[in-house]
Amino acid sequence: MTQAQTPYRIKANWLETCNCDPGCNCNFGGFPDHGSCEALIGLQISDGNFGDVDLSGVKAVLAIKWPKAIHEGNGTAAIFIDESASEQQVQGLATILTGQVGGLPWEILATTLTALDGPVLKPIQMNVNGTNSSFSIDGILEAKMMPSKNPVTGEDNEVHIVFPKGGLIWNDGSSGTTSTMNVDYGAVKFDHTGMSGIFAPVEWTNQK
Amino acid sequence: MATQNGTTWHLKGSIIGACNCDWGCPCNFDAPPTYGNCNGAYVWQIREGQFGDVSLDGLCMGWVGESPGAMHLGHGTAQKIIGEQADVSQRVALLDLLSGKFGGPFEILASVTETELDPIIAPFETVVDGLSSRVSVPQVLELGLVSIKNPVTGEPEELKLVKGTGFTSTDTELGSTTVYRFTGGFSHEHSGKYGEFAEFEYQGD
Repeated sequence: MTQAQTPYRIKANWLETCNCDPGCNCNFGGFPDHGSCEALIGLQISDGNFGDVDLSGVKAVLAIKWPKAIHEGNGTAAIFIDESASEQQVQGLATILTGQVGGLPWEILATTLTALDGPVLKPIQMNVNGTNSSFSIDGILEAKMMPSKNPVTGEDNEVHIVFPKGGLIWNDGSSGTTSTMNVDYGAVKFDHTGMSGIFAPVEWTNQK
Repeated sequence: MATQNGTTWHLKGSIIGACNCDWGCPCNFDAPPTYGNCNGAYVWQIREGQFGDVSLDGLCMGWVGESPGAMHLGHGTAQKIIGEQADVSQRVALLDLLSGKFGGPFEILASVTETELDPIIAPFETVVDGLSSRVSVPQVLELGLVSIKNPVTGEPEELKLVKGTGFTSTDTELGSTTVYRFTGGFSHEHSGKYGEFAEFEYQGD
């Protein structure tokens, strides 16, 4: 059965924290430097739509763990969407994030997940401010990013990882670390404070 | 420090680097080196250069170092390589620069070096071509760059590190090596690990 694909376009801020060392080795050949990939990701849509549904301002958080590299699959994920979103917004964003209507990166990332919980509606606190961004859901998870520091002078370093021809998820990520990064939600439970934190603007669509 | 002796200098050209870290080199992100220690080399192919009255156009020099932990923690051992096409005054100028006494990134490299081996004067054969660059100093150093490959598609990955506070380069193409082998006063064999290419411009007065 073929289903007509609802067109979408999204501009968002992507707050990526994971268990890799700062810089996240997966950017450089695809394999995490501690074996598995365990990530908390904040997503704030600054502008976007799913068909006729305006998605501007919608916030979401993804808590995911893969036993090996992402592309090796078997991921377990929970998708949280801020409870202020309308039913149509929740439906639209969940449809995009589960890869059901195509478009990168979700048509690929969704295939790496074998267990998915959600969308779970919760109040999400999110502060978007480059590598000083943070997000949390009371009683479930918290992530606070901080900039990379010069190890000698202690001054902030602005470090960008850039894919000039376009990356899978983002094209220009500001690399930092985290002062807090933990989650406790069923099968998804970890604490990777002090590891990689990357801030990036993203633009996704299933249209040309 | 940069003003010691009041010698005005500038260098412009291409820098080719390699080390023992995994692709990306975590040291770029204030993380510890992948395998705990740091073994690496930089080669500068100088396109335009001047040190006081001495022209350094077209010359080549290298710095190879190793340290037991992250580079900034010191206790490093280093050896310089000077291209033998440099005449006597040019060799003196390049060694002065590499000594760190005239500032630039060389001051930082010198500050982490505890043991300095005698410099090697030898012919450089270089091909400067981004992540296809290659450097050969026969019997001493072989360094060839190559793009890293996407693990799923196998396609070459175009990747850059843009870091305004980087001390050897600020806009760097990240790759791997076909070969990185040093057989001087100490030995490195880290072919297939981290490699990088960048344009650089340094100056001091």
